[in-house]
Amino acid sequence: MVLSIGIFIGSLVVHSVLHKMLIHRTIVTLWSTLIYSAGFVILLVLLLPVGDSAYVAPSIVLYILLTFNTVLWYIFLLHGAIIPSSVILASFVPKHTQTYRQIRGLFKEKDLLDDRLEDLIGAKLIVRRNAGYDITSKGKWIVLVITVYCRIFHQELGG
Amino acid sequence: MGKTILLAAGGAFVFFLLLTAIIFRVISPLRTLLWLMRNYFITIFFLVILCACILNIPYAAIGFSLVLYSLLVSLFVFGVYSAVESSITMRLLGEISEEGKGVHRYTCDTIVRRRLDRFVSLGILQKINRDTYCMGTRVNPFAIREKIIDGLRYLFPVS
Repeated sequence: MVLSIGIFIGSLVVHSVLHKMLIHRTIVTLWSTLIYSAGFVILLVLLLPVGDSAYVAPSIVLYILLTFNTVLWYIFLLHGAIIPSSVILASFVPKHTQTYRQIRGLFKEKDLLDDRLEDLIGAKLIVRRNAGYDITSKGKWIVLVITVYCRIFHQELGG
Repeated sequence: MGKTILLAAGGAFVFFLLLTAIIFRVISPLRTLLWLMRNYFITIFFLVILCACILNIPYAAIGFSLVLYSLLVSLFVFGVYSAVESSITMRLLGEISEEGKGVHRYTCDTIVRRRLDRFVSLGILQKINRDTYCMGTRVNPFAIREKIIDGLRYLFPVS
């Protein structure tokens, strides 16, 4: 467990340095997360000689889960979109009481909706058609997955 | 022991998902986040009781299972639940899928109202009158997300 966490922290630090170097050259890429694969190989090389130990398989799973969580957050961070919940809650720090109009005034249609529609077009999940938008086959697959999830967990698509 | 750790973590996660699927059917959609946290701790309680008292698994192994279980829950909450519950991008995709070529009906007002309703139901904000809000007395569960984002912004600055 300690070895997994140690190698993960090492990979995280290297990823951070790599990210800062790339961002300095205005390069934003998910390829930098491949650094965790190198960490995984190092972990395997160090763990395989002690293959009969009880903690080998859980240590490998631990490293994979830590990596998945980090990559998920990294994608979230790179997306860089405004998080309305954070903006609303932060606005209550200087002003203890606010009206709906004041809170609504924190947001512009472009920041919340138009930029995200552009992201969806960029990801080829929707296309512009006539005066509106149309979903692509790739987008339909994602909607199908979400629909199945919503049925199982009795959740409605929020937003 | 390795298999036991993985089975305990996987079993706890499946139990958490089943419990969530059942409870989400009977509670208000605005209180799902609160119940997600409760389910997380209820599952830990049962996992510890089952492993320590009935199966006599060593505490180190139980601790390892809890770490793996927590990482699985984190992936589910931040990767799946949040995407469906509060992602504006996913909602837009769903709207466009339903509306066909039509223009989406989702507006900034819907986004702000929905978040304010959620904050009020969780006790983070209080509604003083029809249109005025102030900070509530409950602990803000969104603070966890803010702390993670702050930490990651330090490691991975985006500008």
